[in-house]
Amino acid sequence: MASYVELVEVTKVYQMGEVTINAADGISFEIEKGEFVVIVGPSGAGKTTVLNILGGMDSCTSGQVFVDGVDIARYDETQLTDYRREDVGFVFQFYNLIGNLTALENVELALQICKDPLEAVGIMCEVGLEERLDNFPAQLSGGEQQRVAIARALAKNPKLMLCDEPTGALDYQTGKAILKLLQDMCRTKGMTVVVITHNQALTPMADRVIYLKNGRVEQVSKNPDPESVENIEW
Amino acid sequence: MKDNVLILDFFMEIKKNFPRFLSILLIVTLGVAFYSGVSAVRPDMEKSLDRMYDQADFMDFRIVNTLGLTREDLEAVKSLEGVKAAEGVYKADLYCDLYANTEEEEQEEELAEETAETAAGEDTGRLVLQLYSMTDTVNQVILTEGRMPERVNECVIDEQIARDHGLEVGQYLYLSAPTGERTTDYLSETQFLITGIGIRGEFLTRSRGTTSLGDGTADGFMICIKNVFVATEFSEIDVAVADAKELQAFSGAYDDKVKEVMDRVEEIQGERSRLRYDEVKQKAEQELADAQSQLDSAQRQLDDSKNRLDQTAQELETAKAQIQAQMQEIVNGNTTIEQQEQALSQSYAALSTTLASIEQAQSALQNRAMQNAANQNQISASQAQLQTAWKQYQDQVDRVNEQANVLSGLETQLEDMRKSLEEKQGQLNALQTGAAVSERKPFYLFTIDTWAEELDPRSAGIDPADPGISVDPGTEPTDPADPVQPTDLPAATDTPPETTSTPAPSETQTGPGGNDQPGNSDREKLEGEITQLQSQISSTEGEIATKRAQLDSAQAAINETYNQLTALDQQLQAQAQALAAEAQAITADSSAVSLQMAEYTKQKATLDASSQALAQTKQMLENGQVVLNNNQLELTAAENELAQGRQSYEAAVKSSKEHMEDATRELNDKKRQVARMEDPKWYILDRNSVEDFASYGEDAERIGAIGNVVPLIFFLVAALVSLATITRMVEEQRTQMGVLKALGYDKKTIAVKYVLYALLATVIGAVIGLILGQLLLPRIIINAYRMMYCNLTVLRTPLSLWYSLLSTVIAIACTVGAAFAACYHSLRLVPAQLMRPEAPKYGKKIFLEQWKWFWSKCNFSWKAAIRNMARYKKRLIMTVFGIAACMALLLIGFGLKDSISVVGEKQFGELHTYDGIVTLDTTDARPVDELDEKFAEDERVTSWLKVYAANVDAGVEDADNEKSAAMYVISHEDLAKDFFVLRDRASGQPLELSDDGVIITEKLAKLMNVRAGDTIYLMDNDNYKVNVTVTGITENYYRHYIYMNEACYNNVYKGLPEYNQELIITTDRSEEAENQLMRDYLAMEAVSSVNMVTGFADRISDMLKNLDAVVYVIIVAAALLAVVVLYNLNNINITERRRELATMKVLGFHGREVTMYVLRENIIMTVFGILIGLLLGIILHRFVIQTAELDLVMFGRAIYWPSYLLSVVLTIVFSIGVNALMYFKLKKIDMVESLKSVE
Repeated sequence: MASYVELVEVTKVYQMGEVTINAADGISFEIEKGEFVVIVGPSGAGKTTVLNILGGMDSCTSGQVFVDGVDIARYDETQLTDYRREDVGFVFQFYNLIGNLTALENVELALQICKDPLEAVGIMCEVGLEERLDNFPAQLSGGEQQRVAIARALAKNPKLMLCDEPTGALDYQTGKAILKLLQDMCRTKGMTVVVITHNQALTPMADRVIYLKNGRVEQVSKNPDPESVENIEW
Repeated sequence: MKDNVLILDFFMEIKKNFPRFLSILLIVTLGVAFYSGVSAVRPDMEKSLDRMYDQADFMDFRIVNTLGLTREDLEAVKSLEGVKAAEGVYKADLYCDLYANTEEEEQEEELAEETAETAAGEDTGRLVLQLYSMTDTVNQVILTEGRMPERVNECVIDEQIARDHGLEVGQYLYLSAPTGERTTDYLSETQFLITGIGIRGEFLTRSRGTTSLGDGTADGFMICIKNVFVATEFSEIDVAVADAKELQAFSGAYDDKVKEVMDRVEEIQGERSRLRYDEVKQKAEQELADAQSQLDSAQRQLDDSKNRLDQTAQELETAKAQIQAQMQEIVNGNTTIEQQEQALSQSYAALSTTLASIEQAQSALQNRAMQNAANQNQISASQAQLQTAWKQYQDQVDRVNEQANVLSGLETQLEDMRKSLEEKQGQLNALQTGAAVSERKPFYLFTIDTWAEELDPRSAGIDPADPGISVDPGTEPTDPADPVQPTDLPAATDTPPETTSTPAPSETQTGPGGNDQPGNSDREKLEGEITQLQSQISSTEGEIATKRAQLDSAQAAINETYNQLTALDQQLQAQAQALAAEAQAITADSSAVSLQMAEYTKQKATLDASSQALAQTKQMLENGQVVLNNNQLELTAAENELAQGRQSYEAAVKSSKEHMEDATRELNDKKRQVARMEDPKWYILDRNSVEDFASYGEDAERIGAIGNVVPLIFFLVAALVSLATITRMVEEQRTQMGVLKALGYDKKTIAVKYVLYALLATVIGAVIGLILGQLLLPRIIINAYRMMYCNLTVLRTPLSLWYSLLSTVIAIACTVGAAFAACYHSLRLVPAQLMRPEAPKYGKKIFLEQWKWFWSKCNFSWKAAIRNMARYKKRLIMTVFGIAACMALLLIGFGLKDSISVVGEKQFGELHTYDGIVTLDTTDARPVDELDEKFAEDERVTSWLKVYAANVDAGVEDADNEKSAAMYVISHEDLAKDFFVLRDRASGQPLELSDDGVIITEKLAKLMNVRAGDTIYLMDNDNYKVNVTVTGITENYYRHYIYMNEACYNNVYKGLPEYNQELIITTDRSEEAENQLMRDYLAMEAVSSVNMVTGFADRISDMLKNLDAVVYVIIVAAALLAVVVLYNLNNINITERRRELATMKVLGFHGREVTMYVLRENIIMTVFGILIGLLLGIILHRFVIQTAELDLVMFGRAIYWPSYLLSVVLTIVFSIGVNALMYFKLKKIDMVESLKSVE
């Protein structure tokens, strides 16, 4: 039985004029369903490339990417779009909310194109924003914005939730709260959450930690007993 | 060094963002091209005309004096300071009879199998030409062909006539003067050879001004040399002002320059015109006196002839009475004669009975005479028998006489022989004694002379023929047969006595035988001879004896016969005597009858005489009658003559009355003129008095007005868009600016880059725009105007420094200003702030959300779109404005076409539905009926309507807005509906003509500012003014009309109109059919011209085709505007929202959905833009139409739905086109953008 998510020898080569950059140089790893995964590595290690490929935003040069048993590496653009729309929830570092939509509407934006969405207001309650439904992103704090973003990602009920430095633009406490939320979602809903970060401190909270370096997987470690976010300091 | 880096950066910026640079450049190009191009139209139009006028040395002003201008005047003007050249011009308006001319040509051409149809088709037969004398220094003709006239019988003609009527150099023209005048009053020649074809500066359009001839419009000009003209005074003096040629016409400097010289002329005009005035006045007064005396003498003559006529009439009356009396006498005489004639005829009857009895008696007498004649004949026959018997008797006597002669011969012989015997015996006897000789006497018978004597008296008794017996010489009875001719008898009876009894010759014969016997021997011989002789004698004697016996018996027989005959004769004589008696009786009776006859004849003669007398009397009477008749005839003739005399007198009186009235009027006019001449004046008219020049100037002004509005809107949009683009660019460079600032560059250095960037794009764009716009647009638009100003020979489209600078400066101000503003806005911040991303724009609820119902209905995407628009208000406004401008331009373009085409289509398709106008020749007061009959026969003409058309000036009292209009008096109102449609434009409600007022056309009403119910005045050519009420205002697009019915005309003018036109509706509108129709009707004497509407409508539609050029310019401009504006704004939009869109993509939105997300906003903005553009377009269209339209024309106010539709569709198409480009742009957005931090 194959893993829920499996990358097999994924490479990504960018041709920048004369220079060839191997952003991913044969990355392989597996992720089980319902795991909280942290992919960690320094700048230029290939984190974003992995995120792009896993998120269906970019295709790999070679290799295979299985998500729930389907090789998305072979997907064409349309299929990739559908993949993103149905199977992947994104949480960005800068939240990327639509500025002139309210918090609720931002969530609904995602639901609108999704086949099997969750109920928007309910999700907003779950992320603790029941009071801020009709507020515009500009009227929300960073944490609140990120919660909206998480709600937006969750509402789609995706197979995979990809979070790109979700706390990168947040202060310590807020960041912690966001991570807690993510962890809770993972635990309570059995969501597969992949957090991409350069912050080594977050690794204890993950079920599985994938270390990347220079476009390769340096190490994959499994945490049989991950810490709660509250207990992690950085 | 650092500068180099910056310069490098500058060019890198351009290179990197070349589309943006290009878009700024383009929008500037467009704006500048359109603005400067359209604005340059007016100066270019003015320059073109100026150039043309310079080439032709067109006059700067002219002097006109109703009294004419003399050579001294000319010299006086010439000597003024500032006058470069002045030239006197002779003018004359004359007819040119083409018809006779072209007919020959046609024949020739037909022979040559050329198609003269088209050329001849438009011939109205007679052209009205304005003749000008040739000038050398001012107002020169611009020759298009041939050369200027050099001889008296040469001319240059108007290019327009040449073209319209197919005239060519080398052909001859024949001129004629209007009725009542002679060509020689004006010109020394009547036949002219065309040596050239040309254009005159004052005639820019097809219009050739007005004249007193024909229908009042001149057809063209003709130029001859001065010597041809008879006149001694110039009609006008054309003046060229020194140094004015160098100045631009229509400009203030030019006007001032000309004004200066005009003022100088003004100074001398008082004196000059007074001199002329005195001269003319003197002459006029002399003429006046002459005319008065002529008038008086005419009156005197008239009076004399009236007196004469009256006298004659009196004389005639007397003569008539005399004739009457004579007539009576003759009638009396005639009755007497008739009575006499009756008596006479009775007498004649009696006489004829008498004559009958006489004639009976005569015929009886005649019978008797005839009987007598028969008896006479018998007697004559018997006498003839007797005569024969007498002849026989005579013969017998002759024979007896013969025998007696023979006997006497014999006896002579015997005698001779006896003599000779005796001789011989004598000899013998001598011998013997000789012998004796015996002699015997001859025997005589009685003559019958006595018989004859007896017969004579007998025959004389019967002989005299009696003419008295004949009654009438004419009916003379036949001559009674001549009685016996006894007269012949005596002649016959003469002969018998000549039968002389023959003497017994036997004795003599014997004589000589025995005479010559000589002696012895002789004796014997003698004896022998005597014996011989004796024997001979004895034989002879025997013979004689026998003979005698015979004779005797014969004698006896004769005697017997004689006796018998005598008896017979006696018998006959008795009978003759009886006859004579009878004849005598007859004669007696005859004379009795003759007497009766004579009596009759006498009576007859008397009767005849009286008859003759009667006949004479009758003859006399008849003669008298004849004379009388003649007199009567003469009298009648005299009466006729008198009547004629009277008639001619009356005619003379009438004509002389008219004449005298005319003369008196003329005299009065002249008197008034002379009186009015108190203030003699030169009219000093500048170029604005030239109709075409003025209207050209107005048109240029109009287009200038349009050029000030439409392109300005366009330019504003362009400026706004470039401003937005630059602002956006600066904003995008915010971080870089922050870095530069942090690095220590001062504001100026940083700003220079953006300012230069904007400047470069703007300047390049402006230069391209200036050149393209000012070369292309004026050319296109002026060419369209040249449809009307067809004689504008020069087209000049120089670059206008003013508009070039103006548009460039505005463009630079917009872009560079925007760059400055944006830089200033950014650079006043500290570097730290600059380097931080700009605070995101606040999203907020918009007012529409208050409208719960609407908002809840809205799709989520629409909500987003609406909020987005609300968020980017600047973009919204600019986009909407851009689209609105595009829409408005399209609408103006199509609307212009609609409005102008309406003139032809509606005017001649819906309102004036007749096909042709036949103008009657009313000079001879010919009856219209003749034409009506012709129409009734002509199958090609289905309907016709008599109208009276006249030009009037219409106005409102005290309002100073008098307009010239065509007044139509319609003869049959019910019929008129087929010819004119009178209706209210807005409601389409038909209008009815009423007896109380007139219906006027819309534009006229608008110009006079009147409504239905108002009163206007109409003034005809004789300045006769009437007031009428306006009962309706009808839709109309071309010219001004005033319609009224006959009753209204009668009410107003107190009389019926003299119908002078027939409007016709035909079956066949093809060119050939219409040409044929025109020719057929022109051939009629009652027709003076035929005009078909089709030709006119076609000309208008031709003109429209050229207006398409303007419409295309506008469409292309609109399209470019739409594309550039939408592209730019969309570009900005997408760039601004790149992250957002990338996020959408990441969230799994398909490319199409992302595009729709953006497009939705564009759709809404396009819709708004279209709606606003619609409104803007309608307003601007109306403004443009009203500024552009001429007084005589009303363009359609409405834009038709196809134009709306087309405008909307085109706007949407442009919008979609730009958005399609956006799709590709959107596709290029990298999702990775979403991962980046906000810059």
